[in-house]
Amino acid sequence: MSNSTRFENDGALINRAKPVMFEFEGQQYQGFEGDTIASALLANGRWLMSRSFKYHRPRGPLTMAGQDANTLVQLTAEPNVLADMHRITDGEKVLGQNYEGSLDNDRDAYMDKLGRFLPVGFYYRAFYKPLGIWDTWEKWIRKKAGLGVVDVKRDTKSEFYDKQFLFHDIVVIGAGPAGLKAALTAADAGASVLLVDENQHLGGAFSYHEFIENEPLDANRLYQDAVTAVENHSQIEVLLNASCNGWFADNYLEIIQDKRLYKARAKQCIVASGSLEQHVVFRNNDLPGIALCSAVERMIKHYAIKPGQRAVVLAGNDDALSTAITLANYGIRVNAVVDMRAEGWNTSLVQQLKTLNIDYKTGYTVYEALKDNKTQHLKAVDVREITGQGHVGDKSVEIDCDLLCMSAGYMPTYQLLCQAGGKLIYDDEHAQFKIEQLPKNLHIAGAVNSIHELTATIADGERAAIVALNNLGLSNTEPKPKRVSCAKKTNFDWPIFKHPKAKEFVDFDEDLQIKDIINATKMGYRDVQLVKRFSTVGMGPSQGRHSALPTARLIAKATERTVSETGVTTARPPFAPEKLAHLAGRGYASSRLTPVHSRHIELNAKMINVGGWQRPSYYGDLDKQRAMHAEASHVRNKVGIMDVSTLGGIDVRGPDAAEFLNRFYSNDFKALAVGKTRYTMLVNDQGVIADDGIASRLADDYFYMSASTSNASRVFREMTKCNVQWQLDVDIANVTSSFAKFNLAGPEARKVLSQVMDDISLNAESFPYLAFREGHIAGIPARIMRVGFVGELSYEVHVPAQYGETVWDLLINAGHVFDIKPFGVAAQRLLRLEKGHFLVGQDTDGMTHPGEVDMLWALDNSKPVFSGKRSVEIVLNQQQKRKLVAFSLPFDSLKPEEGHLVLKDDDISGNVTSCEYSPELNKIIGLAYASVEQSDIGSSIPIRVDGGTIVKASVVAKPFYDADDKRQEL
Amino acid sequence: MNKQVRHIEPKSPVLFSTTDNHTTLSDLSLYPRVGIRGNNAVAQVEKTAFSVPETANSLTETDEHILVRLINNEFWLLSKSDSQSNSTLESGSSAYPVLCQASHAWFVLNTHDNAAVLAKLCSVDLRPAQFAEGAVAQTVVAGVNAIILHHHYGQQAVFSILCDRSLAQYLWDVLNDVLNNQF
Repeated sequence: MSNSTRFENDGALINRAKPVMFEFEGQQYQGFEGDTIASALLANGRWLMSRSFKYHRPRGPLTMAGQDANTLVQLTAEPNVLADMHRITDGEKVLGQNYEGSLDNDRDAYMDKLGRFLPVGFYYRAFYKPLGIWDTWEKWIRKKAGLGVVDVKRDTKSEFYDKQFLFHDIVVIGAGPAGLKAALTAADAGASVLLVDENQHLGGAFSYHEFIENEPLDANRLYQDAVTAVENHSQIEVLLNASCNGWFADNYLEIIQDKRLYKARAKQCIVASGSLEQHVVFRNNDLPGIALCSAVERMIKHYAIKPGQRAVVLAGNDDALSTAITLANYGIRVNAVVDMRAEGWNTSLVQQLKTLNIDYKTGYTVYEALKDNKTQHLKAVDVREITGQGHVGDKSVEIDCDLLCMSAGYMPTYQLLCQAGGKLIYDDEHAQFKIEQLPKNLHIAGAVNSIHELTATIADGERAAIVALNNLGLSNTEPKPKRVSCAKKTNFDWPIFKHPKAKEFVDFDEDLQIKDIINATKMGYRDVQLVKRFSTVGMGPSQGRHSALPTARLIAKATERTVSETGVTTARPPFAPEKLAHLAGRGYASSRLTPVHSRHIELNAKMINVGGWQRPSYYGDLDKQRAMHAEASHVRNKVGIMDVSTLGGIDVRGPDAAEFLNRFYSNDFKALAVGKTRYTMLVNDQGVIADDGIASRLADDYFYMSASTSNASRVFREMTKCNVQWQLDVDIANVTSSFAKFNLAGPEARKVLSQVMDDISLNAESFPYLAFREGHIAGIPARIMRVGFVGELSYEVHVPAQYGETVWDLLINAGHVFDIKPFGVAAQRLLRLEKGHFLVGQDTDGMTHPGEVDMLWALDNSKPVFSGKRSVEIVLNQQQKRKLVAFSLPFDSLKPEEGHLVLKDDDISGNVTSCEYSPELNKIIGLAYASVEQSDIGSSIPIRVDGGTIVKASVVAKPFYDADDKRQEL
Repeated sequence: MNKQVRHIEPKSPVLFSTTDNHTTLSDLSLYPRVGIRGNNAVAQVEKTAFSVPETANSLTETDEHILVRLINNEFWLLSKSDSQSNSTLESGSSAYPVLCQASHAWFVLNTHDNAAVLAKLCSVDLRPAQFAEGAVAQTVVAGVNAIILHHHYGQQAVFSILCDRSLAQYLWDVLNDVLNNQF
């Protein structure tokens, strides 16, 4: 444990006037408003915050920017929270993760000594022999795997997540020096700008790094001026604590802030996402007390934390020298700056180090970090001279320290840009990746564009903005310069130092060492994508932010290729972890209601979803079976009313209406008389039955078509598509919702309807079966059809939807004396089954053609053409394999269910599509697919029901009920 | 955002409040509206006193009516009051009546920033610079088809939202949820 404390001044993000108490691992800590969990713990001298995934090694903050897995902690209601990003609240309880016992004394820490037995990919090669051993291993592995714990019993309804669309001329990702300049330049020219940054403040590196090498440039003044200008600019909207997690085509950006997911549309997008500082790979480079230079600068500048007493800085660039000077200026003793470079350093900075009496070693590296076994904190470093690429000399110098700041260079924050198709090209001269081949209207600026010197970074932001403005037509000036260049070298060529005792971590998330990457290539996984999948490198929470570059270098060397040829793994959204709740948002789920929905509720209907509509399955308190039987029996013996408003309705009007329908459906329409209805069947381009319904002819040039509930929209779309091709003089309108539709069915139906009809004679002679009439009910215009779906005297009554409740009430009131009762979908399906009618979608599937369901009569082959005609001819000319048959079983037999298999010897010949007990017939009846050989009337088909029992059903003729149709034609 | 939302039962026609600055969502589903479509629809509309919108997805309006041109040959006439007077578009040969009174519900949204409210539900940029008064958007709101009109009601610029009647209760609930949960 170090003796870190707060400085008396500074700490841009904390409010010292507001102390905050919280609990970590059962112990009380005090921080300030604005502190993160990590900063508050550091201020209390606590570095150890987590245990590593595989070896349970003690870990502390690495980046202080939410870019690593070292600070994942458990909150009461949420696992895997980034302690260096999550701000503390009063009374909050925080725990470590992934340990046995306590965080400080993890009993699983012995795993660290088992490394040699857990080589890369060991899990692919173990646990499967002998047969069945996985069942034993699985329990142990599941217990050990994973990090935090999800509280599945928590009330998940208590949290409110939201979505919102945003629209801007230019979206700038990243509010560092380049992003601020880009935003201001664009906004000053009149563009609407959205500026997004994942931090809680503007400025990026401006806010923590001292650009000492830029003197006399006043970086702090530039920072303050830019922030003030942005905050006061009416054309700029700022989103802080917001992560742009995804780039999609045409600059469609996914941005997450708190509990809201923004979907931003940007005409132009400028990515100024900065770069990710990289670690040096040496033995024990993960000890608490070792952090990136930028992390230590954040600790000091943002939170006023004194991160250590005795520091060593391991430098691969001049920025690390600035860090050392900052440490010294804040009173921290810098015992040494170990610069890996043999040349190329900024002489002014080196001079300042000397002025500060800091020991400056060049051409050296830290070869091993040494741990205080009692505190588990860094206590010293073993420093060696670099003798070649990755090699060091034998002479060791041990330097006492409790803080090691390191910087091997930078990796562009490339993820968004690569999602957009950008390519990473390795620049050997600067030992860094650059991004090229970006799509149109997507621009790049600043450190992510490999521009690191401050004035150049700002110039690059301005350049990108001018290009974007030109594309928008808001500027016509050429950016000067057209391309900003930067000579500053930030990356050390080979900051990787293998140690005989290993534990030089390339990937902290997955505890992957140098040998793990090398061994993966030796086993034949030469491609970076294969290395990733075999070793899991880059698959942890930080998604390769620090492992991608050293992994690429190691694979390149091991496979004797260039780093460019090796590349990095594919970057896909999301950039940062996001919750399912973000994707779900408020969770709206639409449901269509009929015009008389409230009446169903009043009648205690049990509603079900049918094709997106809420429909009554049955009414009352009886169970479904009994209610269904009672309602069906009532229709057979008295009269029932059903809400069929969900059926599709399509008006087809115009001089070519009959010609259009003749081409669209399989039946003939030209001969259909005005005032008549006809069954219609639609066959698709594969010869499969797509839908069926009823056509009513209102006039020579006017047809009213019905379609099944689930297919109405599809049929309408298909009609409009066809008419675009056919160019007939016809108008097609989807009037599904325009009408409330009721089916009045049963022997007393005529009597009920006659009570309310104003102007239509309903006797059988003047309004026969399959006729259509237009009239009025209480002055309300109505379309009336005589139909026969349920097999009784039956009328469909269609009225304008706004009069639905009125007409429903009129029919119910008129039916009182005839004991009218509503019936639901369940009873209707039983009634139609008794009549042997199949339902499209229930008794047909994606392969059913008209021949399989005995519907050849619905094909008018004398027509030169109709949709699907050619396909039907082809499928009918092939050998037929199955047919839909009607079957029956004794009432006391085991009842098959939909989906149960029909067998033929040892093979499956079909399946049950509908089956119910019919109280009217006192037997079980159903429809099923069976082989053609099994389809003869009188055949027996074996059906395997639940539990594997076989029942033998008899194939019978359709319909089961009222074979001569006398009841429906009354 | 003023969170005071006036709740009105969807089935009740109401006079629209234009006298206060409250956030208001009103249901005008029972106000008269008619439509025609077909090759002769333009000619039929030109016979009326209404100014014909020049392009599809635009509208013209008077103090009493809104004339919406949805596609080149489809027009809806919406009455801003429950008066039936002059609320007709004559159908005729190749100008077929559209049953928009029956098929669609009609809500009117009046807040100090209607575009911001609908930005929670709709992917179309409805800010005034992009969606000026007189504009019409046939789009998706909260996952269902909707027609959005930008017009005046009295002195106030409002958004009308028309959706399939069967989805009226759903969209009403969704809009109320958004208005009551701004943050």
